[in-house]
Amino acid sequence: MAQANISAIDKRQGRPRKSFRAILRANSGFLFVAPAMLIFLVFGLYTVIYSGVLSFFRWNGYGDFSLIPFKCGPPSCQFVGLDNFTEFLFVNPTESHYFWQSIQNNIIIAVVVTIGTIVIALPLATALSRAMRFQGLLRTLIMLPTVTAGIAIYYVWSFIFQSDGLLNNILGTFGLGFLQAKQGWLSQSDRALPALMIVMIWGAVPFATILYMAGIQTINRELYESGILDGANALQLLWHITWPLLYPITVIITITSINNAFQGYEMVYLMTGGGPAGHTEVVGLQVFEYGFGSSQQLGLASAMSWLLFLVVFIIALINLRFFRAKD
Amino acid sequence: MPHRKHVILSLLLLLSLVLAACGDSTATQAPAASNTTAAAGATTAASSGSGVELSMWTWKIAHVAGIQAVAANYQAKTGVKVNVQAFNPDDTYRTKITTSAQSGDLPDILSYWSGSTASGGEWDMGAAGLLTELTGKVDSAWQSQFLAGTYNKTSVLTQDVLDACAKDPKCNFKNLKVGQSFSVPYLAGNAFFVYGSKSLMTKAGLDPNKAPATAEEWLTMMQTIKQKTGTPGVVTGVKNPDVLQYWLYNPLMMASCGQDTYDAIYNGRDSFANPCSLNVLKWINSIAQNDLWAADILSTDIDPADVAFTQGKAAFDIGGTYTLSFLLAQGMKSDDIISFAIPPLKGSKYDKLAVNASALIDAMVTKSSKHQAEALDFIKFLTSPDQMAVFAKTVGDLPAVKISSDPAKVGPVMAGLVSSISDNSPFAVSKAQALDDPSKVLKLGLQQFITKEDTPDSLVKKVDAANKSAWDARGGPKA
Repeated sequence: MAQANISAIDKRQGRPRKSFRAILRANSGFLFVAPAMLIFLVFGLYTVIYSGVLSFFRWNGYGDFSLIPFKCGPPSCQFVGLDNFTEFLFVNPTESHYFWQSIQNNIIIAVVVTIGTIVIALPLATALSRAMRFQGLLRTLIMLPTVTAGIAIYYVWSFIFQSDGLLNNILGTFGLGFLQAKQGWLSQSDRALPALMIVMIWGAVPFATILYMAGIQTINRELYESGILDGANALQLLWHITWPLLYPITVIITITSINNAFQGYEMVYLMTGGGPAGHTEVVGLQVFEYGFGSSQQLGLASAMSWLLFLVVFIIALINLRFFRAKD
Repeated sequence: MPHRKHVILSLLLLLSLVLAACGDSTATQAPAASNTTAAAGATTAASSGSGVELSMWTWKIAHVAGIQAVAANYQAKTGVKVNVQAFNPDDTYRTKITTSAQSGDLPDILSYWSGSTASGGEWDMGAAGLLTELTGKVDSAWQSQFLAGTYNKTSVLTQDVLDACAKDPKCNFKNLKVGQSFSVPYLAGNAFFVYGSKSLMTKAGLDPNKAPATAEEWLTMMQTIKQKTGTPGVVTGVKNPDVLQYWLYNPLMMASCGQDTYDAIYNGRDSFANPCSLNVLKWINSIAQNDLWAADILSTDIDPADVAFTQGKAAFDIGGTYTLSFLLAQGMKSDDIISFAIPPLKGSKYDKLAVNASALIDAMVTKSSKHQAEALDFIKFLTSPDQMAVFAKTVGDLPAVKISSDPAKVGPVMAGLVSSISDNSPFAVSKAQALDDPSKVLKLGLQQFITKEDTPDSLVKKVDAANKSAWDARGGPKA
């Protein structure tokens, strides 16, 4: 009975007054999400707003700059309007040259790594799903790159890419000496970015494979059986059944991959530092250098981050539209 | 709508918690701040013993043992304990300082790159009120202990630096005045040194005790060694873009052009295409053209380059005063090493480059320190000649203070370094200001010589354009 929950009538407003327990029950959902909301508001929303506001200021990290209460004490901090954005976009020719070069590298990485990941992960997932034995072991093995410490992996890859490293040795052994990088893969301008993308794809394939394998489990086996009855081969089954039915997963992989390609910089920082001669410079690395390198321009770094966010957001939207249209 | 009201109420509750958490902490910090002053005033009494503990930060892990050795002596003398911590690498250290400055957790004593005029540097910290001003506290007796061209050049704000700041819209220390000081140097040194492998020179039929007199002669030596032994000519930390500009181009250009022209080129009054500069670029380019760089050179950082040299992967290693101790620590024998300053090109203005000691690391007392007087007293103790000799012998690095060149006191390596430093280097009087934008173009261009994507003639045009644009933004070239 609804009336049982009413302990009293608010005579002034003419509304039923609920008991404390009833209020608690009605709002239990909010109480459960409150801790997560609090964490999000402090560490998520607050920092995002902070960074957004900071992008309109010049601040070196010292002195006063805070939002609540608002403080910006000169000379360490001063309002500069859109100067931080315009500086690296077009006002400063040197900065803007390297910024656009970095954006170009980010786009190349996003396209190549995303396609490379999907092209390797999908057939791999299909093959692994069909494996009759040791499927658990194979899944564990394939996840190893994801669970191994990044720094260790990057150093191992750096050794592999050296002039006297494993990759050059393998190429030499198989008579492919013309493909060798005599100065080392990370030291040659035409090889450094491809070398980094190989490591990126290597790192992204396991997660994508696991996602695809989970997706493949949900596909009705009868579709494959009827396909086989119609005379389809493995490639046709992959193209006409698996691929279209895994669109939602491909969307997730694509967006994640693009996001990583634009925001990630750790690997570039550790393996090449943006070199040789700026050939692997990416925007994330520039943001890091402006923010925490020797010039400490946190406002400029924030502005660059926001522009990066905008680029990723637009690409993600276009992607979603594209895949939705396909769907 | 009660449901909506509950949602709004819940959000308001959360927001108030957030606001409380992020609110200004000045009110709670104020009493502590006033205690700070009181403690600082009472310092002399405290320094006689007494459980005072100081904290000191550095980013140089290798220096911790040296500072700790001095700290142990200081504790024995005063009873004040100094805890030394290192945060590495450089970026981590900078971030640690920035975040600690915001949270009020800075140590009593900070180490920082000497005379850094960049955003976030020492002057920025002073201008933001994070450091205790030392103006007038470093008396003439203390000043006289420092090597020439260290304290006066980088620890005291000069008219030159302030003028440059006034012209730079991004400069954050315009509120400071000429003569202000916030730090004293304790480590000095310089790049411009080359270390050669005597065994490889001998193997190639060269006299292992004869240093090249010119850059051309040095290049010929590299070619001979490569031809006779197959070992590449030279290695250095080219992955770090600063290295080729500061360690190779600058000393060669200074010797080639002379100090006045060197200053004029960097300060926007002359061109990088000046033959004295262009010839230097052509010589640097010839290292790549003759395939004399060590393998993987563009992905080799400073320490790995030194390691590669000790492993015999190159005949010469370009470094600085700080390199030798590292080479020896890696197991190289001192009698297998020949060292010499970067040799000038033929026809250079100077036929030999005198290398001075520049201040590299300064120590400073933070304003938030509760023991400012003790902290300053420790810095004075640290920079005394006797204690600097202890530091130098422990870490194998050159202090910013005049120390004995007696091998018995400072060790054989340090004795050699001390005697190689000159007070008459043109760098000690140079007023050149290398701006960020042209330097960036120059650094990448020098790397592009190695990838064979750029030439000296094309690079000078780009650097000149960037230099002009950068000086124009500051109202014109520096006088």
